[in-house]
Amino acid sequence: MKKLLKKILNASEYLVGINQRNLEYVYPNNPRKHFPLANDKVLAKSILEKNGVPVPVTYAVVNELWEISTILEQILIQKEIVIKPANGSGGGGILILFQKDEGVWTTHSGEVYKKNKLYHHLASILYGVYSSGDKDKAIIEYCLTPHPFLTGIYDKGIPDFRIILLKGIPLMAMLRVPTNKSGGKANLHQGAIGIGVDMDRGIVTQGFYKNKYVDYHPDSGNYFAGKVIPDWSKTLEISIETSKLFPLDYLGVDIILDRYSGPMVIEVNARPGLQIQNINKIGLKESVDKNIQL
Amino acid sequence: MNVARLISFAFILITIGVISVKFISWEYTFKNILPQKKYEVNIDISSRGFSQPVNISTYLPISDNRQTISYETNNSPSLNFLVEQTKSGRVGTWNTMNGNGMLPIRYSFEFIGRAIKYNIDSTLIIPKTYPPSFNEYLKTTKNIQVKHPQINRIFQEEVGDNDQILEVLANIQSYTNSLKSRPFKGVTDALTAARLGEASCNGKSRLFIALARSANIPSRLVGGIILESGTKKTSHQWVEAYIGNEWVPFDPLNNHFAFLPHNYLSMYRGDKFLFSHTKNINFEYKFNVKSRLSPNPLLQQELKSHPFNAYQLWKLFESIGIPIGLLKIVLLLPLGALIVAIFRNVIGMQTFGVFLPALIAVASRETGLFWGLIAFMIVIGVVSLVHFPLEKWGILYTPKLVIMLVAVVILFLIISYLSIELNISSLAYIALFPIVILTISAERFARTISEEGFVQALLITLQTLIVSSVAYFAMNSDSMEAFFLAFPELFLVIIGLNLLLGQWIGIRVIEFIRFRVLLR
Repeated sequence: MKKLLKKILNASEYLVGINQRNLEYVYPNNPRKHFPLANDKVLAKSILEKNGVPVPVTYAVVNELWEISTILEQILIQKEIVIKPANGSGGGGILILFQKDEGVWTTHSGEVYKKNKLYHHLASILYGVYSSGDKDKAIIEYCLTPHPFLTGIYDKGIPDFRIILLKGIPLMAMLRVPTNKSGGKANLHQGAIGIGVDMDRGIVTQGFYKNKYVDYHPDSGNYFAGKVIPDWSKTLEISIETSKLFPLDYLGVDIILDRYSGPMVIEVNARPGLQIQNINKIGLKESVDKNIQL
Repeated sequence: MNVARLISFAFILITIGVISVKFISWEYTFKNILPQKKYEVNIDISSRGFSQPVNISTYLPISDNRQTISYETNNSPSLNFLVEQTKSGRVGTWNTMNGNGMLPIRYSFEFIGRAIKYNIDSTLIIPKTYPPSFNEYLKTTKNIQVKHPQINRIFQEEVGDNDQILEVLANIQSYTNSLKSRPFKGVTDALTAARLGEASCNGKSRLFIALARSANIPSRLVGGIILESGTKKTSHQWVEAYIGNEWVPFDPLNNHFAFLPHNYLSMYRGDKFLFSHTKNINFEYKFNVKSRLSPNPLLQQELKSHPFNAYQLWKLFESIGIPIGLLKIVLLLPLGALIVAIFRNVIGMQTFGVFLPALIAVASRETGLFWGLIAFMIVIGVVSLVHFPLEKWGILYTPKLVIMLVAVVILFLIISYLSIELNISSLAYIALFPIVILTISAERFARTISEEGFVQALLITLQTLIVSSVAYFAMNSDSMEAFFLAFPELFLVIIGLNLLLGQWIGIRVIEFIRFRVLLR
């Protein structure tokens, strides 16, 4: 009992909770007025593109309803596309499509999208179905193919790296891998597994799934602990470059490792979550102390 | 020290200052501010008639300087009811010429009593004579055998030749109280109580009276009920003795000397029976008592005469016809919100909407907490079902919310209708739930199911219910209500506490669980 109390009292030495994250990391480093830069994927992507940071190629941005028909014609030359709402959250509204026959698109699970259905989906995005009613934009972009390193862990969905940086210095990183439960999404809330990253050595460490540490993927059974991450130093470099482009000093950068083009930034987050502490078995404050001389 | 912290300390100090001034200079008293205990009493009588005349009567309590009786209602669908004043008390009579089948009676009223303590002057001497009207309080009766040799002997042993009222009564009390207490059924006369050396309330009281009358102190029985929450059949009897110019209470069973507790309901005076009724009607009765706190009538008096409290607002609300309940809600909503803030930021509970728990608590004032929470869950559950087809068909956000809102309204009307039909009238009040907020919560509930799974949505619902319950108990406490009416400056404290809470970087309780694998 006494021991537990001592543990609890000591926790604030190394752990960061939501209150402290907001008061000492987010508010002082990320002025509210710059949040849209991170929240709006179109805006974020244009900043990154302009500065030569690798991002998935944009095929089209749909701003208005009347553009949809033209854009649907333009994308007929692509074999594979991803459609995303610019301001979506939790992976809502994201659609990965292959073109089977001309104008006939289908998802991984075999759902068919013809012109009308595609039109309707894009219109829904514009009307804000996936962004709580606010008017939104839709991005249509290059569909990434996960690197064999990633498919070697689990071959469905697209895993991504999350790197948290403070004032341009990487603090912690993790790899988020979809599971059967997460339905192809690399979202921890939806049941994806988080895997720790040893940033110095460029290897993945333990995975954290259902409050337990594991060394293998719960569905595929593939071991990953200790595997070397390909292109890790480039991934880290890209994350640093990205953080310098945004007036947000406390930033989560999401990077996907593409089979053909290497690491690419897909999203930045101005209030990254705290689960990364559990996944890496280290408190955020500790890693600040370790990485940043104040 | 930063500005926010400075302001918060200033607010808290100002409040303490103002409250102190109110207590010290304006003579506010806790006794008047705090609510009183109030009892809702139901006398349930049942009997069965077989086509014959039926007559049932009982004593009904009346207000006096010690007890206040209000909201009296009689519900006796198959019997006539009449009330008459007698010397022993007010008698309620139910009758019919042709009673058939079950003849239920429910007589209800509210009781507020205060404890009363009499100081008997130790120099008072027992008077030699009284006006003729006191004869009946001195005479011997069938059950109070004043002149009996055995009673005389006990009187000589226990009291002796003493003419000081206080001492005589103290001796009688200590003797009657020392007898063994036993819950006899029925009547025990004074002599039997003395012979057996044991008795229940009425035997001890009669013996007390026999001895007091032997000493030439007028005395009489009082019948009533000791009020406690619950259901019971036991009535109680105690004694009043005439001292100086007033009747002073004594309870030889529970050893109250010149004192009566606040929960003694007196119903009649004299050696009477509480009930009388026609024979062979399967007569049954029980007392159903609920206690609760209610605002002290003295509070209004108190507040009226001083500035800087919410009483003036109260008057204002009344004068333009806004229900006073609304003022109470407005006064207590900040407290509910503070509770939500503490649960969210210190404990780390997740709730649907920031203020939804406080609003559920408010809405549950009318329905009671149980039905309030049930209604909330029904609405959230049923309405979120509407969400799924709408989501599947890709209905846009705002039109989707409108459809869900209509579903909430329809559901409210159905529940209100059913609750009146099924006689759960308190459930009809769910129409007071904040419809718009419920709609948004139902949408968020459904979205949480799609995005984070059913278990997670259920967990957040559970947490919302817990926080709502706590807010309910704080906001529905009469003490809190009285405090915010008397000290609206407490709002400053709420602002101050939130300024502190808003700067608190501590780890939330739930985060210790979330990060338990990291604790070392």
